[in-house]
Amino acid sequence: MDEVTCIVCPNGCRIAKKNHGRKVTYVGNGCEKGLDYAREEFINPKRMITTTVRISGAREPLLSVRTSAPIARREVMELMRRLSEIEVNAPVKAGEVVFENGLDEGVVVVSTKNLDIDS
Amino acid sequence: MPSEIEVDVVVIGGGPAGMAAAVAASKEGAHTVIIERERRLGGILNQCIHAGFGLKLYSEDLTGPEYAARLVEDVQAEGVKTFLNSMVLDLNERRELIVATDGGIVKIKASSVVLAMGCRERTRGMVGIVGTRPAGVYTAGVAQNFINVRNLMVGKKIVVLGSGDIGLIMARRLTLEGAKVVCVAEKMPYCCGLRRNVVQCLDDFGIPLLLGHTVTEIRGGRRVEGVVLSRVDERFNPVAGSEREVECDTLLLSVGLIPENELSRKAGVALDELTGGPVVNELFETSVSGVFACGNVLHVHDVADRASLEAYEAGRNAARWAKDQAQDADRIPVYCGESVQYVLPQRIDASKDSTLMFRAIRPGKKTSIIVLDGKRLIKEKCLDYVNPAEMETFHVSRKELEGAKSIELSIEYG
Amino acid sequence: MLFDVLIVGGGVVGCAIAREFSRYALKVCLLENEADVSCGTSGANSGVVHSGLKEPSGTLKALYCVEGNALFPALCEELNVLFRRCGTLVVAVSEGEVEGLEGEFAQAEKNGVVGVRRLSRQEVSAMEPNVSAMEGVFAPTGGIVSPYELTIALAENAFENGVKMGLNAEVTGITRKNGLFKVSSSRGSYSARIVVNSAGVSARKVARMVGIERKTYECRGEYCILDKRVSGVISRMVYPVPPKRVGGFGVHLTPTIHGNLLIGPSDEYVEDGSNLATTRGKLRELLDGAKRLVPSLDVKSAIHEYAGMRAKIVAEGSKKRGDFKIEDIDGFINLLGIESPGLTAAPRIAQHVRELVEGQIELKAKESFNPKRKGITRFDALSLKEKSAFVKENPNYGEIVCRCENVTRQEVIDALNNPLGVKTLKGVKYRVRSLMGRCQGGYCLPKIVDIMREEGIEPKDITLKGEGSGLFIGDTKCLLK
Repeated sequence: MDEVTCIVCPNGCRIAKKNHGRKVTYVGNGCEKGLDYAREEFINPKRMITTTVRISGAREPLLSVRTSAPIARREVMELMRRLSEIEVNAPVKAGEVVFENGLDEGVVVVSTKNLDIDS
Repeated sequence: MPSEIEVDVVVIGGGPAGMAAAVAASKEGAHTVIIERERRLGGILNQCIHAGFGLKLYSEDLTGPEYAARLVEDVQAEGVKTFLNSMVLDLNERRELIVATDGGIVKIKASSVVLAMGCRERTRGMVGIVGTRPAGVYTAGVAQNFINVRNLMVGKKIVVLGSGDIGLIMARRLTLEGAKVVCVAEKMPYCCGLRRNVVQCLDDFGIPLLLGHTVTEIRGGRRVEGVVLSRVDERFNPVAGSEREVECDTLLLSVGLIPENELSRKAGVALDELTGGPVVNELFETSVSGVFACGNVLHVHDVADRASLEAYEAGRNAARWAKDQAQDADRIPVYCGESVQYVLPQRIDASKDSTLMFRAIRPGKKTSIIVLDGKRLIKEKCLDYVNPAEMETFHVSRKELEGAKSIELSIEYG
Repeated sequence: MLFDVLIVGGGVVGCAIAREFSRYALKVCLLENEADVSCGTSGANSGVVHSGLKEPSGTLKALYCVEGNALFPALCEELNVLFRRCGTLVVAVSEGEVEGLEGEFAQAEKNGVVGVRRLSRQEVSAMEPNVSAMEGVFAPTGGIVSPYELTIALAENAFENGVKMGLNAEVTGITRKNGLFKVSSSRGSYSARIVVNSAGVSARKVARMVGIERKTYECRGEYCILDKRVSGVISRMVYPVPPKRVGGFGVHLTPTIHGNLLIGPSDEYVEDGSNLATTRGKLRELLDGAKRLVPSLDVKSAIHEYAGMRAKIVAEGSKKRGDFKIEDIDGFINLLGIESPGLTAAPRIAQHVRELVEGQIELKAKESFNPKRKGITRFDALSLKEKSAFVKENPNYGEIVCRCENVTRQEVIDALNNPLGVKTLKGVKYRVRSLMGRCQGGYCLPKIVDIMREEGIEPKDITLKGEGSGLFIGDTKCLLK
């Protein structure tokens, strides 16, 4: 693929990669963030993941969570599988780490909701 | 007999619009209450576990629940009383409400009302997909609720109809949880969601996007066994002979949202066919004095932040109205011109600066946005890019509006 | 187990027969192959309680329709089922139809239809200003009922009076020995002195099990329901003059008892009686037919389309309109071709069946028979004062679960605890109306699922209409684990 669509903001610029011998340039980005995105996307695409994990003891059975930073796209389904196996206990606060595993350096999974114990 | 209370401002709905309106009203000094039918505040945000919220309001990329939590904090900090698990049964033009709560029926007399009831989803019955009626047909929002909130998986082999952001996001969601999304079908010749969502939700997972296609039939006795996909022509009629059956156990419908204005009708609020919501002026006041509207009940938003921003204004105006009623202003109508889906507000005070919100009928590059008073040009502006999926704003100043009897906004394509 | 009477088929006729027999000291059983009663023809029909004007004179249909109609007010009162005598209006839209209209009127008079009269264009207009008509015929005894509500009520009353209701029981074979019938079903075998075959579309198949060969033809009917908001255009049933081609009433309009406008049914002979699919062509016909009668009708406001099946006694293209076939073959009471006006005639058919059986088994009136049945209290129908009192007494009435139809949590709980033990979503739908509003479950479905789980129903057992129609495949993580 010599072209990617940037996902950083709603504009969705199409950024092409051009090879001039050993030099590589990018064309089509609307801003710096897009350039950074394109560089990474061509080599090692990364994604932020939002999902849920099971929670016990709360009024709801699921806790919404997110990765603290983008992880390699090829590791996404493996993370989903690992998260399907865990269960956390209420109470959990938004921002609290619920899973750390070392799939990607330093990236953890944090809660995005406050869920109290259901009395 | 029902208990009775009197308040300054009642906000119907505790989602991103309702909460913002209540906070703004309360900050203006109004005694404000929120009526919310779920057991917690947050509205649709509670099930929107994906990110993309808060970019405008908080300059952060938040998930739905995180965004909701910010507003809930503000609501609590303002001490706004909230009726949870409560449903408004009736509303009249004198701003009297009858509310069902599990503590009893409550009669509320309000000085002003903010309508923030949000939307419902267009159903299979409304779009008229024929065939059998098996289990396994869901609207996207209901499926999202089951999967994200109630821990129930709706199926394992899914066809999604509709390429708006909701459909795309659910395609990703289902795939992440291990289901197979066979395809996303879209009757338009272009994708209706943001390009970034096509990448993150479809391309990433190799899910085909079938443009110019629709689902024309559902098959299956007790549970969905398959759907029939057909190509459509430029009038969106199925092309005979193009049908093919796709095997699946679930059909997800993401075919549009409809502002939920049943209560508005009860109160005699005039509705705009184009938006599906109330006709409002620049204060977000409806045709019924003291009744205001904001958020998805007014028009379908694509970004929750905008719904909240609109709601802050509506709430503030509702509070001011509660304090010292209406100040009559000379208002002029705002009309929808060429290639415009709708414009809001539909009536503006020409002695003030105005911000118009509108949606284009189809995507386009290098477009001109033109505002006319009859034949007289009031203002023209170029926009690099318009897309029906994104709401645009257009400012006109008091000076530019001087002398105008009415204004019409239209789009000329490049 | 030995029964005096075993009824096959839990439609409105089967349940009416069950109730009729429950008046006597008899052992009665009803077997129904679906998960609930009213799942066949009775679940998908207009719910019209016909006046009798449309039936060919001299037929059982005509006689039992008029007589059945007269029984409805008292019956619905006893069963606590809503019924409204709104009246039936038949109109000639064009000049060419006036002759047919005259024929309808003559037939009505012959059938003894109470109060039937002719209307001029002005009179039609005064009665129904939105209907396009040159002339009309009005039958004031025409009424509407909810067909599944009625069937459920009949079944519950029969059950409460001692009838054994066997749901999810498919009859697979019937033999005769020593004057007794042996009925095999998916739920067990039973012996009976009398078998009543009220299996509707499957009646032919059931009759064949005892060696009785009869021909019936399957005919599908499609329907379209409009949003309540546009449904106020008429307040009575409106029928066109029947088209010259025999085999149907033409597209007609029914204001349902719940306030929606129902268009249909269509009329289509089909090969496969289990094919309940709706089709584009027929739905188009329905909307066109509706607009012909009420030009201002907003046909874009449909909220739901569905189809039902009925068994006709005459083949497609036949010149005759078949009659009810009710025969007694040595204690096997065979009911065939009970299509419209089957619902209206049901109470009379039940009496007829009882009369057939009278000589064969002893019918001793049961003193304990209670004709009254109390349905689920509809919160929305209460006055504000009553609502307030109900909520104070029971907070479950204060939580609105279905906002389109204003159905409370308590009503859903009641629906799930119904006397027949039905625990499907369709069962809830039929009993309290949630899932039938304009949002078609968009708001209430998750809440009803919650209540089902609270009532002890496991997610894998949450079905639309019984086995094979489960809503979920497991929990959210089940595909990954």
